[in-house]
Amino acid sequence: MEPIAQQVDEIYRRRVLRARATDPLERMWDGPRLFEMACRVVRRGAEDQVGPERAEAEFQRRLKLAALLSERHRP
Amino acid sequence: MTGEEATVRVIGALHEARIAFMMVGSLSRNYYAFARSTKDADIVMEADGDLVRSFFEHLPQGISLDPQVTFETVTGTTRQILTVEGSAFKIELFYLSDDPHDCERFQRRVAVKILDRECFIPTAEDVIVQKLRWARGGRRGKDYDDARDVMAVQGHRLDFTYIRAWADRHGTLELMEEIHQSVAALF
Repeated sequence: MEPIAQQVDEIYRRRVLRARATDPLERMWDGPRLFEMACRVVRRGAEDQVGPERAEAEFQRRLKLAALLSERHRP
Repeated sequence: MTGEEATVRVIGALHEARIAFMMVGSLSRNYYAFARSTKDADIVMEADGDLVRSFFEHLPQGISLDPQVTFETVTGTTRQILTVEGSAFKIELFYLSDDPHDCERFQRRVAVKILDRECFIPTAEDVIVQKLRWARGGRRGKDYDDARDVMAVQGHRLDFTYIRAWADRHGTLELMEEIHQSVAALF
């Protein structure tokens, strides 16, 4: 196996071990918490780039774009 | 209101309305695998016209029903969406279908305690069976990854006899074995 593939596998393995050591309910609620944290960053980015008046519209546009990209099928 | 708060309130409202339900999608996937950002909570309800109507009429404050019923392309089911005041987080409600596996995973659902409430989620095996099906049918990369991640984190706890039986029925056995072997090689 190539060294890079070994490293990828090792990173994944460590991630699995960390997850096994975490409370499942914490893992569950981290999903919405991470999303809200990401939303705050995106809102701030939109505000900085287009100004406070257009920030909400820009935020919504970026949300829709993210949803479209996540639904894209594998080639 | 945060997505977490909204979800807990909706779970409470489902209990009060006496509607049988289970939380599926990313939240149950996170429960059995890794924490990953999720923009919605997916809930399957066992539909009873009057109870569901009453539930929608008595939604918790700050949570509203989007009047548009939408079609979910991967699962082939209809869904209703609840929006959360002050948040981009959504709660998506699906009705229990008559699909044999959908019915069985609902019957086998397990209770987890959230604050003082019982919340129901599918078993880890049923999350995998469903993800394999979508990975094959919808060809979504994330479903393949989800099946792999649940297998990796749950490891030897899984009942592979059960998973194989459904995977065989769904035509996903080969895919399941491929993922299982790739995960087993890591440990």
